[in-house]
Amino acid sequence: MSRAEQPPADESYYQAHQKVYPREVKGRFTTLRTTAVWVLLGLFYGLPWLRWDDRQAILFDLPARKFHLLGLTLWPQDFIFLAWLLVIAALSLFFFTAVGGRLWCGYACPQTVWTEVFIWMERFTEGDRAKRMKLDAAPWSGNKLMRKAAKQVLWIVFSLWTGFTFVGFFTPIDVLAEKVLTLSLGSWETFWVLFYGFATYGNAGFLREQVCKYMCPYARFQSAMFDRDTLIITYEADRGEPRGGRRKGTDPRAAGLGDCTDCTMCVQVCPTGIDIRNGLQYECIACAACIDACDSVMDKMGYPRGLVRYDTQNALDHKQTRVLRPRVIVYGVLLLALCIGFVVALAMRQPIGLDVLHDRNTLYRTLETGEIENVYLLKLINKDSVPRRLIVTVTSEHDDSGQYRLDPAIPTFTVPAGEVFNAAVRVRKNAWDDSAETSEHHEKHEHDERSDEAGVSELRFEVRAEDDPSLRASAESRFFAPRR
Amino acid sequence: MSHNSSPDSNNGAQQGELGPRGRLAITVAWCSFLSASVATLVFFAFVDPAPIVAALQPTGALPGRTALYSLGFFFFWIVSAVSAGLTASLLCTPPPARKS
Repeated sequence: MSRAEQPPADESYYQAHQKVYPREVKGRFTTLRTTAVWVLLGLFYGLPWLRWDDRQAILFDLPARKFHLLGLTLWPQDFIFLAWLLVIAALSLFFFTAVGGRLWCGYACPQTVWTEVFIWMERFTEGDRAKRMKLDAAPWSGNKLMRKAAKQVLWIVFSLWTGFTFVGFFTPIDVLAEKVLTLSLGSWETFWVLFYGFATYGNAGFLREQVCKYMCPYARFQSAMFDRDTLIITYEADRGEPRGGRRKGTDPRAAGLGDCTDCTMCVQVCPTGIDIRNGLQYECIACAACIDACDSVMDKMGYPRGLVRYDTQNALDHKQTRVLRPRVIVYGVLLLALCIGFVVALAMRQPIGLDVLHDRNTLYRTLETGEIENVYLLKLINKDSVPRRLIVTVTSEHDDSGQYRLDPAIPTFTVPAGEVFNAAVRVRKNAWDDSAETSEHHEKHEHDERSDEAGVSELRFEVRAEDDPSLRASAESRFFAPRR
Repeated sequence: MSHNSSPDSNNGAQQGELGPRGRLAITVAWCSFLSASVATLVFFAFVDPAPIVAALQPTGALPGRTALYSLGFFFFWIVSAVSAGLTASLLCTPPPARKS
C-alpha cells in the first residue's frame, strides 16, 4: 500500500532531500556494528595515548619528518612502504567488496562509525524516532530548545575531542593536552583541531547519509567489484510478496499473502532512508539494520527468519553461489603477494642510510703536498632504535689500489638512535697520477680512450656499522681534479 | 503506526537538507579534498619544504614545517577544487539546443 501511495516521481533530476530518522534496532548485526564502533573509535581515541619506550607509540611526526609506528620508525626515504601499504589497503577493499559486498560501508567506514555515535547522542537527548519526528514538527518551546541545545553541546564537545585526537596523531598528544589546558595552543594546531572537529560535526551530524549518497566515490565504483556471487542485502520477493498486514496467527497462504507483513520496519531503521524491498540500490550501505528489524518481526509472527538477509543474487535466483571465482582468486593472490612482500621488505629494510653531497663552494683544493682534496658532506642516517658507530669507506669503481684516501683515514661517527648526523670528510689523491682513472665522458667523447686531461671520477662512499658489518648503505658522488 | 511515519513521507526537515547546488558543492569539496590529501602526502614525502623556504628567504622568521605542510595542502585543495568545480559547472550547463 505504501508503494501505491507514493507521490509520482519528481520531474527534476534531483529528488528533494528528506531527513531520515533512523529507528533504533536490536539484533545480531546491530551488535556486530556496535562492537565495531567501540573497537574502531576506541582505537582512534586511545592509540595516541599509548606509549612506546619514551615516546608516543603511534606518532606521525610531520615537523620532524618521521613516522613512529610502535617499534618502527619510517623516514621520508621509506615512502615506498607507505605507498605499498595504501595499495594493500585498496586491494583489501576490492577483495572484501567482491566477497562480502559493502562490508566496509556497513561496519568500518568512519562515516558510518561516527554517524552511529552522533545518532546515539541524538537519541539520548531527543528520544527515539517517533519523539524526534514529533519534536522537529513541534513549534519551538522550552523543552525543544533544551533538548536541541543539549544535543548540540554533546555533538560539539565530541567533535572538538575528535579534532584534538586527530591532531594528537601528528603532535605529541600529552604536550598538546598541556597546551590546551594552559590555553597556549599554536595557531595551526588550533586551526586543525577546529577544522577536523568541524568536518566531524558536518559529516556525522549534518550530512550523514548524504555523504554516502552524493559524495562518496567508493559508493559509486564499488559496483564494479560486484558480481552475482557477491554478498548483498536481499529481500526474498518470492517469499514476501504479496505483502500485506495480517493478524498474528493468520495463515498467510490461506489469506493469499506472502511473508512480508508490510510493517515498514525495514524502511524505518534504514539510515539512508531506502526500502530494501525495491531490490539492491546504490544507496544501500549494507549496514544490515533491516535484517535485524525484519528478523525480529519474523520472530514475533512465528515465521522463519531471513526474509531480508545477506545473500547473493545467484542464490536469490536459485542458482549455485561460487565463492571462489576468478575475480576473488586474482584479488586474493595479489593481496597475499603484496602482504608477504611488504613484511619481507620491511624485515630486510636497512636501518642505516647515507646521502653524500659534494661541497658546493669549492670543487677541489690542491694541497702543499701536491695532493688534490675534495670535501664532502655526509648525511649519516640511523633509523635504528639504538645508537650506532658507523665507519665510512670510499672506493672508485675503476680503482682498487686505494689511491683515494679519506681524511681522517677511517672516519667513524657515532649516530644517535633515530637521527641524522652531518659529517664532513675529505678525500685526497695524488695529483698527476697516471694510473688515475680520468675520463670526461660527460663532455669530450674524442678523449674517452686516453684522456690527458684530469676531470671527474665517480666515487662510491660506503658506510657500515662497526658492530654489525651486515648493516651497510652506500651512495655515489664525484671527485674533481684540475686539468693538466 | 501509520504509513505516514515512514521516511518517505516525512515532510522535509529543517536540518540536514541540501539542494542540488549544495550537493554539488559538497561533492566538489570532498573529492578535491581527497585528491589534495594524496597530492600533499606524495609531494611532501619527496620534498622537504623547510630548506627550500630557508634558501628563498635567508633572513627573517621562518615558518615551521607544520605551517608549510598546511599551506601546501590548501594550495592543492584549492587547485583541485577549482578544477573539479569548473568541470561540474560545465557538465551542469545544458548543451546548446540543436537546430532541427
